[in-house]
Amino acid sequence: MSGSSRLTEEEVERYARQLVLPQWSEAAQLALGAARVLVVGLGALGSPVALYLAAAGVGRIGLLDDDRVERSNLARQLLHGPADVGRPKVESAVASLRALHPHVVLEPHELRIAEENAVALVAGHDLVLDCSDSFATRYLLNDACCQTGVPLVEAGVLGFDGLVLSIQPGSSACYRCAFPLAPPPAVARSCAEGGVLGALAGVIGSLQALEAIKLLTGVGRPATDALLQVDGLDLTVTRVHLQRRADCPACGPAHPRSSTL
Amino acid sequence: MALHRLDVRDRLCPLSWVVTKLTLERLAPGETLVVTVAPGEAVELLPRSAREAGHEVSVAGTTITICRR
Ligand SMILES: [Zn+2]
Repeated sequence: MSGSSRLTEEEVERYARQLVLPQWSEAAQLALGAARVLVVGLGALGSPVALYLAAAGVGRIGLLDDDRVERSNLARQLLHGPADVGRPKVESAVASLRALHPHVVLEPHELRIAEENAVALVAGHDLVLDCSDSFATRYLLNDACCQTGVPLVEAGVLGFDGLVLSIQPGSSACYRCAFPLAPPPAVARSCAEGGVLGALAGVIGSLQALEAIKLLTGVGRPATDALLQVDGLDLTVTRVHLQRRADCPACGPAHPRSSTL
Repeated sequence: MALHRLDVRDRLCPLSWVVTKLTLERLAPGETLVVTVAPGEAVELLPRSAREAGHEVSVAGTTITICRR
């Protein structure tokens, strides 16, 4: 489906239920097919994200994770099954996604994102989805996306709380604009330590996939300059307005993007 | 303006409308598409979908004429 100006007969059938949407079009579907995205983290968020993006027809999906599947992952990480325990997550993710969609191009990266490789990994993608479970990775990806101009859909879950934030570098508030400082260590627990309910991660990851699809197709209005907070216990959703910070070290004018590429 | 024809008698809902919609997207505004549908629900559903999408529609039996908006 790469670069073609028409959907094939098989694609028309496969995507019929989204093609029938009044806001959708063949052009929107072809834009998804031509898109190359990077999913960072193949756990509770990365599972619904990668599954929904592949199912919706995103053409190329990069899959980044350096972990192996553990039994304690299975209650919420739907890319992996009991037979995958001990296997690298990228391998089991490729197998699951391949089973779901035989034509999607999958680009596995069995490694950890770090200061040395972040910009190079992000560059060349049309969009990045942060499905990691660490604040350090959030700031790294945010800064790499701001530097390269690649849109980023940020999300996080902890306990029964989740958040989603779409970032169009250079035109909307970035993660550092929203959270200039990392939380103190007491709050900065990782998901590995804190509890997470799989269904909540499913909701947040699905919202993240929805935002990515909107950004890639131009359909609808992505939640840029906004922080969506979901409280799963009370099932309340709060949308907090965000503003770019003129002095933001990541996206502020003092650090024009792409100058160091 | 050219007149375009489409036969969706072998398509079930929603594919009959999907194929019609994609064909309309490829036409210029004001161009006309004549769609042949199978007797049954498509006779009612397809014109309704086309009208909801803002096109001008006329129905004669199982022949549906759609003027792209
Ligand atoms: Zn910023």
